[in-house]
Order: sequence, then C-alpha cells, then structure tokens
Amino acid sequence: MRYKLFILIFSQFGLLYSAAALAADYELGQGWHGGNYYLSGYTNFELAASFNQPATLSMDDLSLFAGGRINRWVNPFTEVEFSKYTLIQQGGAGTNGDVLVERMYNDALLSAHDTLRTGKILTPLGDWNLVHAAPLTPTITRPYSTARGFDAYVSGINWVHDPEDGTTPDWQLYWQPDSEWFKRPPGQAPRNFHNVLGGHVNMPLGLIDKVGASIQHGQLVETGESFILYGINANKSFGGLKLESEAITSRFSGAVLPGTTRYHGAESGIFVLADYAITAKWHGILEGEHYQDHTVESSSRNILLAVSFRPSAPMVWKLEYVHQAGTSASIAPIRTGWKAAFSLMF
Amino acid sequence: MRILLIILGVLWVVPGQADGLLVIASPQVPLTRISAKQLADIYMLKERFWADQTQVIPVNREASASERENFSEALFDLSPQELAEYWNRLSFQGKFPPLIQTSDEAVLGFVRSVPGAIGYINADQPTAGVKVLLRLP
Repeated sequence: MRYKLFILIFSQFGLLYSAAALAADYELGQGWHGGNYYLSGYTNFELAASFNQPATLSMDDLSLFAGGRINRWVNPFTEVEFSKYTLIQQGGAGTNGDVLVERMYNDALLSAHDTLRTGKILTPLGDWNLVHAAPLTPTITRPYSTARGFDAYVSGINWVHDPEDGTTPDWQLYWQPDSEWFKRPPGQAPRNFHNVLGGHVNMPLGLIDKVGASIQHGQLVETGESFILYGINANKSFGGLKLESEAITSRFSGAVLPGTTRYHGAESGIFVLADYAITAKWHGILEGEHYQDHTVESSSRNILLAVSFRPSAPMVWKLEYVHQAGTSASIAPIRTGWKAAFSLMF
Repeated sequence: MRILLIILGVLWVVPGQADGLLVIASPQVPLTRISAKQLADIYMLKERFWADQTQVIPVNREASASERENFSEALFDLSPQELAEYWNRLSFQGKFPPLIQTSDEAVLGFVRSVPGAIGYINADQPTAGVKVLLRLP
C-alpha cells in the first residue's frame, strides 16, 4: 500500500508543482487556474494520543480537487483523496489508507439562480458536511451530529436554487435512487444508505452567518430500517466570537435484519461550538456534544477544548483535548485524549 | 531645513500612483456603470451572469498586492484574509474563486481579451480596450 501512497503524493504534488511553475499567478490556498480548468486540494496530518490507545501520527487526508468551467451545461468537478494513512503508530501496525472518490459531478447552470448537479455530491445537510475540509473546520474532531446519523454522500441528482441576494433563503433538493457510487470501505463508512430523498433550506444572515433546516428520508442498508431525519443548523458571529450549532433527530421504523439491534426508536444529537478570535491568528474553541445512536445503548457525551493558530488563510495548526463522558462509536471514535493537526490548502 | 528639503526632493522624484482604483470590464460586458453593491456581489460569487447571459469572470490581484488590500477594504470592509477564507469555503463547494493576475498590465490584458471578465487596476493606468465601470477611492 505504501507504494500507492507515494505514487499518489508524487503525482498530486508533481501535477500541482508543474502547473504552478507554469502559472505565474499560482497562490497557495487558491489552487491553480488554467483557462477554464481549476486544480486545488488540501492535506491534513494528525497526531492523536487517546487514553488507553496507541499514539498515532497519520496523514488523515491528501485530497485533490479538479474542476472545469466549460460552458453553461458542462462544469465538471471531482475530488479524489488518499485517506487515513498511518505514518507512525506506537507499537507498530496502523492503517494503510484508502483511495476514495469523494465527489464527482457536473453542474448544469439552468438559470442565474438554479443549478442541476448530477453525480456523487456531499449531501446538503447542515453546514459542516458541506465544508468539512480540515483547513476549513474549527476543530480536528468532527461532531457525530454532522455525519453519523444520515447519508453524508448522495449519488444522484441535486437541484440547487440560490437567489444569491443575501436576503432570500436558498434551498436544495436531492434524490439518490440507488446506493452510493464509488462506495467507501467499511472502515470509513459505518452505514450505507439507499433510496435517499431530502432537502435543505438555508437563510443567510451575513458573510458566513446563517440558519438552516434539513430533512432526509432513506433506508439503511445494514439494518433494513427506514428513517426520516429532521435537522437544524446555525452560525452566528458577535465580533470575534463565532457560535455554531447543528442538531438532528431521526425516527427509525420497519423490522431490523437478523443480527442487528435497535436499542432506541430515535437517534438524535446536538453540538454547540464557540470559537473566539483571541487575535487575528489565534483562536480558542470550546465545543460540547450529546449524541444518542439508535444502535448503541448509551449516548456519547463529549466536551472539547482547543486552540488553533492560522498564520495565513490556507494554513492552520490545531491542538485540542477531548473528554468523552459517555460511549464512543467504534468507527470514527471520539475518545478522551489529545489531538494535534496541521492542515494546508494548496 | 536641509533634511526637509531632501525628503521633499526624494518624494518629488519617486513616481507616484494616482489615488484610487478603476474597475474595468471586457468591452463586451453590457454595462456602462456598476454599483458598489453589484460589484461586491460579483466578487462574493453571487452574480454568475451578465444581462446578456455571458458568464461573469472576476479577476483579483495576488494576496500580497496593496491594490487587493485597498479593493477589499473599499468594497467589503474586510481584510484579504477574511475574504480568502470565504472563497476557500466556496472553492471547497465547487465554486471558482476570482482568478489571480499579478500586475495591472496582466489584469488589463486579461480583461481586454476575455469576454465577461471584470477586474481592477490603479487609476493612473491607461484603459484602452476596456470599459471603466467604476472608480473606487
């Protein structure tokens, strides 16, 4: 697997370097633009030292985006990433990483304010799921409420309506008739979904401030259950203080497949995060989350304290301490311990 | 007094730039003037088409350029870093941030030759072959 990593690293950086060298206008964090084409990406290195777990240094993500603005009807975009690769782990072992197709879609611009997106997309549900690249998120640990209880990747069609006047809500509808394209491996996708239908409405309140609501209906492949989810999300700034929250609740119905257990008829979670700009570059962050998984008897109750240093827009260092007072999920666990990360957009 | 005269002399011979920026656009753009609100919407990637349905292609200067800092502050009351963070979020969602050109001449050349392009240059630059839509302080 190691050779795959090196091939990927060299091909991505080689491509970027050669493109950047050819383009006098290359700027770190803003990708490379060559005529109608666009190339960008990010990388994230993570050091985790959780309680009773081996300390691990990993390349959490090496991601490459490529897009084109060909004409009104053909505007392709793809994101491919190399993910969860252990560089060093206390006591050896670790994970070999996976190559994933995160997104692959085309945008057809139906009008000045309507886009038909076709392919594999990030589900418009809440805010974090749409912008989850490590250099852009406030913390290393991703709250369960932003990913675990719903289909975070939709393969199908997505209608995006954006009045873009800053005063009227924008909305999106999506439909995944079957299952996920370029399916992620079980270690990264604890749940798979099919027959997914949903919508998201978002009211902009400023540059990044917003309040939104989401709904999603679908079926869980692993258990055979149907679910309907309702979610709300909000971002609000008060000078140097930014508040962010997302909450979801799902009702599950239908018989479960043999070998699976439904401890609760509903699954719900909420997180609240406060991000204070101590200076333009230094931020202090406090976050708390409660999440009740319907397949786990007890809930996850975690609190997080973090500090981040952003010397420039595309680059950030993060250090955080998480305390888990409940039960962590086995996949994408949130455990008590320390984490540090360096993330860079290129 | 002698020092003052020397300073005045140095200031006299240093070539100065006219105050302000000119917002310029491709000659095909169907506008003769643009409001600050329209311009801000374009650079926030909220306006995708001109009235004739040509795609809008905003052009920016590199992050270290004083012109970019002046433009960002005149139009948005935001620092270039805050705007870069905003564009980074949009870029992750598949939207093209403004294209970068690294000099007034490069901006002029690009805007002159690409239909739908809009950019800004120092006010003392020649504007042959482009439309001047607005002057910013």
